[in-house]
Amino acid sequence: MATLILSDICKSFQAGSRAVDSVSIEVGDGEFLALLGPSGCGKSTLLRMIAGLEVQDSGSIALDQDVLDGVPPAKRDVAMVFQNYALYPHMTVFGNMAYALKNRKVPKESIRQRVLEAAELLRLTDYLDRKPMQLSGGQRQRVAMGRALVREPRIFLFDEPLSNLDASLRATMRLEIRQLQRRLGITSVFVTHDQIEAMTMADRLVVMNQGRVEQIGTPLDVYRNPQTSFVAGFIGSPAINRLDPALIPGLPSECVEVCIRPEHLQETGEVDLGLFTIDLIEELGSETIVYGALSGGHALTIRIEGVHTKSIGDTFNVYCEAKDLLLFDHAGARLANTAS
Amino acid sequence: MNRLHRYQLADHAILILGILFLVTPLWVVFASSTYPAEYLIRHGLQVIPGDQLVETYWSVLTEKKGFTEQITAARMLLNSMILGVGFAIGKIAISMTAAYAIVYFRFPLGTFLFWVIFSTLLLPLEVRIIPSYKVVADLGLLNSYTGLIVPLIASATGTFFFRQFFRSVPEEVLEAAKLDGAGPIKFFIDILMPLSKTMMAALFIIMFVVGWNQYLWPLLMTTNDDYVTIVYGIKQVMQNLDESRIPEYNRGFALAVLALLPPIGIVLIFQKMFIKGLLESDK
Amino acid sequence: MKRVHFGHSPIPYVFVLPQMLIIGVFFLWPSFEAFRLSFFLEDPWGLSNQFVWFDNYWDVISDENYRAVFFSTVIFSAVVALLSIILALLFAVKVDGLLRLSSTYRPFLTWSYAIAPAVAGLIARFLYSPQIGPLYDFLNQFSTDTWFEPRLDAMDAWLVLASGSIWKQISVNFVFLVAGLQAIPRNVLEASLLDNPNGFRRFWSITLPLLAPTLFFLLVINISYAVFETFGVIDTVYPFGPPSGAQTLVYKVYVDGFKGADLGGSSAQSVILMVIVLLLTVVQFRYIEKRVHYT
Repeated sequence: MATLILSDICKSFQAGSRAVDSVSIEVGDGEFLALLGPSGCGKSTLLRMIAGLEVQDSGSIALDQDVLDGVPPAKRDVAMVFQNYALYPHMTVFGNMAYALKNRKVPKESIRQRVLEAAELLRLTDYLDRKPMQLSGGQRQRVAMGRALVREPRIFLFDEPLSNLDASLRATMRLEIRQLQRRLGITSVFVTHDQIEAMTMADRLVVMNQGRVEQIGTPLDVYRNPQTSFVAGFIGSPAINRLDPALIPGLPSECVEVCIRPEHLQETGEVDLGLFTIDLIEELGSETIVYGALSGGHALTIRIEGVHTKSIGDTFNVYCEAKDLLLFDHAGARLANTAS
Repeated sequence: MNRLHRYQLADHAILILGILFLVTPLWVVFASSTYPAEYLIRHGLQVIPGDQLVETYWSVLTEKKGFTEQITAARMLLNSMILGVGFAIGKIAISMTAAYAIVYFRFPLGTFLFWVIFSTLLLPLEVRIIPSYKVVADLGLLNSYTGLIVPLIASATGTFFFRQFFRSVPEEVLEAAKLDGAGPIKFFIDILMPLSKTMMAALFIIMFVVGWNQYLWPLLMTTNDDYVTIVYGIKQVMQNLDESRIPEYNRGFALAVLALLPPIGIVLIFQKMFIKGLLESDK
Repeated sequence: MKRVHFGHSPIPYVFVLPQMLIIGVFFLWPSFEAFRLSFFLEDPWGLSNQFVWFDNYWDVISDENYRAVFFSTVIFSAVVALLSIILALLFAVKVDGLLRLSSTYRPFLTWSYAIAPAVAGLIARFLYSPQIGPLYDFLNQFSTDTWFEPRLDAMDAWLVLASGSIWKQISVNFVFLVAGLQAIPRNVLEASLLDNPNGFRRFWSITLPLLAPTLFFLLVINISYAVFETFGVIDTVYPFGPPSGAQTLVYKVYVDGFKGADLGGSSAQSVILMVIVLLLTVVQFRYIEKRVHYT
């Protein structure tokens, strides 16, 4: 297995705008790392550079002691699962999984054995003679995994592999991929724009925006302690509330934005945010989301555990704890919360 | 009967008239080919088939007589088959490889070569027949299958057909193949060729018909009867009809029917594939 | 264009080589030769060759006969292209409307694609033949003298040539128009069904504009067919040459070059034809395509 080190990677497609801007990341042995960000943030480009499908303008990529710069994709010992699976439509499941090994001149008997093993693991044994067209979305997904698996790569790359599946299948596959990765202990990099996917699967997340790394950390750390205003807004659903600092007395003068998670707004607490009127209520069973506005017109979202007793048009005073407030300066960087 | 039905009846009537318009001339030619020449001269074209079907066609296929003194219709059919198949295969081979180079590689001359190929679409063979004839004559290719087939392959329709198709193949397939260790040649043979199977078949059908139906070029190229194709043979029928005392209309008709059967058969049998090829190849 | 490519290698050159060789030898060289020959005056035996600047062009353009052929080619092409598209459109719309039964009719309207122009010419010739042709008799039965005489009269000859050319071409247009009609989203047609009760207005204001890309494309290939491929029709209907006035430009290039052995003049005509084709292509793409709605 392997450790992946990206140091100071830059890549531009057009002069003047950087698709990937000085990114340095270390992925530990056996770690499952998610690259998360909005579309166009550079996460896929970064992944493709690891695979060798794109070449970085500057910076270096190393797998353990081997520097990968200039090494062609097939010689990097990496395997990739594509968003649309990219299965070879004219080959059977067996053919798809065996193709890379054939190209490496692995002996026939050994190919057979490795494909059968992988098929067993992915519950594809009964489908080995079928063509991709005859498979369901989830099965195709597993074939794509199998194709990566049989190569026994040092690192697994996933490029939004679940985005073509429907919601329930996506949840199942999330679990399957995670269990498989943990069992095999293969270092993995997973690109997604879906925060639930990233939060539930990853050991650590890398949040990217406009080619830059905004924050690296465990899912909980990123959620609780966003280091930038972008991360605070990008992670969490329903989205974090952004407040005018003028609402709260005693904040440092350089603070231009205050954020607070919907679950941290309550009917009691240290800080009084003012009178709130309910516009809309979403009842999800285990929790309730309440939408409305403060008397100054400032929109707020509140999350309440379980069932509630409110109705539309009700008004009440909203409070929060000072420690839950997240403060950001004009550049979007996090400020220490002096109120706590 | 309600209004909807009456409308539909009119629709059916229009379509049946259309079909009659297309089918009747050919049927009349076929029916008339089964009568003796003298009968046709006296009674005109026939709608109901006569009793000379086997005699007429057998004599056209096997005898070198009448208007075709040097060659049987069987030989003409063979020549047409060689032209149709050779043209289709040649065109598929060169256009597939050229399209592959243009779509999957970025090379310094790529754009320039693309425009050169594109320019052939604008100027059909017909506008440069005489210099083309001279070139082929200078190369000593008159009266040869090479001279018959190769100049016709020069146009770019097939290249555009495959270019369009290759561009519709998801990029990830190439990326996956790269990761799986396939180089340019391996990718072409292992992935792209099998993927193109139905496209090749569709183009083959179209190009076979186009090649089979060539007229002007064989007319110029062929001075020796051994290379006369069946479509060109028709021109000789026409010339001889005007000169003979008892015009052998029946044999002329039989030749026309023989010239039509193979392409019509292919178009009807592989109708779906033919339509696919036609729709994709001209865009 | 694809984003992903193979890196630098000699392979693309090897792969385009066969096509480039064939294009070079059988397209570029002859085209260049046509251009070169058009500036020379060659005697019929090919013994002497004289550079005459633009004399050949001047002779062609100032030739009244050439101009007549030019205009009749334009009219002939327009008639053949428009009529074969309109007839095919009629059949395609009817077939498209019959949903379930459409597959029964389709092969009958498709097969005639396979007819060679030369064979269409042969059939037209027999149907209009004075000896055995039913259409010849039919057209002449209304008067005592033979007022329909395609062997002598240019207008009658055009009728024979046009009907043969249209007959062969309908099925190509039919295939494209059926596909074009099927590509129109059903829900757009359903929406128009709610908005407009008049079937013809619906066709005129919704279906036809949405079909415009197909029609535009068909116009291009039909004009090219009528100008170039109808040579086969003309040459089989009239193996010894059509009555004067019933020639197309392509036929004239052939006759002057091969039968008349006027290489310079014929080459000048070829070059003029090339320029016309180029101009047509540019005009088609510049002006007509702009007015076409692409969905």
